[in-house]
Order: sequence, then C-alpha cells, then structure tokens
Amino acid sequence: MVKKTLLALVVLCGLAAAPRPAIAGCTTDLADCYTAAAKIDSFWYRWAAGLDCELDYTECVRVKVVGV
Amino acid sequence: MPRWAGVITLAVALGACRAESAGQAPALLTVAPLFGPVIGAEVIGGRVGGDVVTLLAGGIDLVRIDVPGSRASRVHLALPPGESCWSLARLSDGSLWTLKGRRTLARVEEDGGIRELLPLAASHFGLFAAGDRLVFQEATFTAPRPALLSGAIDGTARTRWSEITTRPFEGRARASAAALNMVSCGAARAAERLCWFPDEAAVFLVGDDGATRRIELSGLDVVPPETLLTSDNPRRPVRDAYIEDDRSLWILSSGVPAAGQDDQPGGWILARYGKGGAPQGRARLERPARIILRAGAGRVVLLLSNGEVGEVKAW
Repeated sequence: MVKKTLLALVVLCGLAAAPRPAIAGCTTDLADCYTAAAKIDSFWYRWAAGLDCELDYTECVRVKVVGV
Repeated sequence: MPRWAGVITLAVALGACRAESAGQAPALLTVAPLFGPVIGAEVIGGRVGGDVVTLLAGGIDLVRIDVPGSRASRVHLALPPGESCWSLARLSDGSLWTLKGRRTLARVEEDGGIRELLPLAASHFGLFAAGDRLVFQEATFTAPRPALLSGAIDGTARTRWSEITTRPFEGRARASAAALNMVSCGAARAAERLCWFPDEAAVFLVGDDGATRRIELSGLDVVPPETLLTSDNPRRPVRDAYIEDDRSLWILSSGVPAAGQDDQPGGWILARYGKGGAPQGRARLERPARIILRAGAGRVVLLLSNGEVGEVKAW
C-alpha cells in the first residue's frame, strides 16, 4: 500500500513539474516517460530514469527553441 | 549672403552626420533569390563558417553553402542507423566537431566521415568553438551556473567561458528551465562571438578573453516563456544574429508575417543595431528566412525558409 502510494506520488509530482502545456509531442512523451519511471522499484534507478525523461524532453524542445 | 551661408553650412553638417549613421530601413525588404534551394525543411542543428557556411541538417547531413561561388553540396554523415548529431564547432586548426547523441564528441570530416569519437563524462546540450578550444554547454538542471565551459577536446580541465550565466526560473519545471537556458551562438566576421538565450531580446558579445557585454535589443517582439515552450513555431526575438566587420549587429527575429501572408516558420524581421546596441532600423522581409549567411558590402545574404539563398539590400 505504502509502495503504491509512493509510486502515485512520484507520478503526480512528475506530471505537476511538467511544463504545462508544452509542445504537444514533447510533453506527452515526458508524461509517459515519468509514468514508466515511477514504476521502477529501485529508488536510484527510478531517479535516474526520471532524469533521462527530462533530458529527452529538453532534447525534444531544443529543436523548436534553438534549432533553425 | 550670410543667411545663405548659414543654411548651406547647416545642410553640410547634417549631411555629414547622416553619412556616418546607417540609412533608413525600408518598410518592406525585397528578397532577391540567388541560388538554391540548398536545404529542405529539416532542422538546422549547427552552423560554422565564413564565406563557405557548413550546416548540420537534420542531425545527419552536412550542407556546405558557398555564397561567393553560388553553389551548395551535401554529404551524409557516416552514422549508424538511428543516430544523429547536434551542434557544429570548427576549431582554429580547421577540425570540425559535433555532439553525437548526448555524451559523445565526434570529429567529422568534410566528406561526412567520422574520424574520431570521444566519450564525454556528462550529457551535453550544445557545442561551440572559440579559437583552439571547444566550448561546451553541459546538460545541467540547476541554476545559476556558468552556461558555457571551454576546455580541451577530451573534456578535462574545463573553465568558464564568458560571463553568460544560466537563469533560475522560479516555479517552473526543471526541464523547462533547462530548455530556456539553452544557448545559441551566431556567426561573426568580427573577433567577438555572439550568443543568446531563446526567450530574450538581448545578445551577449564575448571577446577572446571571455569578457562579456550584454546588449539589449529594443524593438523586438518577446513572447512569454510558456508560449515559447508550447508553440510548434515559437516566436523567438532572436532567431539568428550576425556581427559585421564594422561590429554592427544584424538580427533575424521571428516577428509576424504581413497581413494576408501564410505564417511560415522562420524570421520575418531583419533588424540592425550599432556596436553599442543602438537601434539602426528594422524591416519586414517579404519572405521569411532561417539564418543570416553573411552581411557586408551593402547586402545581407539569407538562407530563406523555402531553402533558397537570397539577399536583401542593407541600409
């Protein structure tokens, strides 16, 4: 029960921190990525997966805000 | 007679003042196509060069645009399927570098071959060059920090390059803040480098010694960061920038198309500023452009959104 609650909190925190709204595909991918990361049991692997989600998001947005 | 002499003196004096300043910007800039198209709709992730400009197109091709020769060529990077690059940097020895993925520095040949691959200790957002040093933008999510670090090719002994500092964005998600802190750098015929953040109507001029001047660019449209991050075609105050020999700045800004024209991606506004940032006029392009290829000798050469190379008359 505690584990499930923590997982739900991680997902909710991730989505709350997500840029709202963002370039549609990038944000959707980020939300999906956070959801998948939240399901990882190990705290450190979950944290690392969340970081990868953020890197994926910035790469996705980079094309629009820096690319020409 | 003295009265006429006074009028003539005044006219001569005004004429002299006029000759030293930039001319009047026209309301609409007519674009004269030169050659092309040289590139498709693929994203340009990096650029280097002077008279011959090399672009990283779609992360997988190098497009060379020889402006004086009015020709262009394209080579495919020798990358494994599914892999791509971002950023281009040319060192003073002529070597060309890019980021393959997030954590690999790649030296590429003019024919698209990969000559060297060097793993990096951290993920990176961007890569530039300053003389014989590479300038890295590391993928960091904490601010304020130095935005750019220079160092040896192997990534060791990095030191701060310039005084450009990432900005904290209170209440904003870390990933969004990181995206807003990504730096672009433009081309220059002068010694200084020119860099900017995507959401600001300002540029940083960075000298060889790292001394940095921030120049506010008045008259450019700025959109809120939310809009910048949410739009498929974000309106950026500075899409591209170029320093001329005389150190005047040319800025390509998104702006908006004239009434009745399609809202195509690219910059619709070309603005000129003096070396101290004094505005010297802005004009609407009759066709949108993606980057400034070169400026000087009374003209500005642009890569247009339709992939052609064209020029406008400078003022």
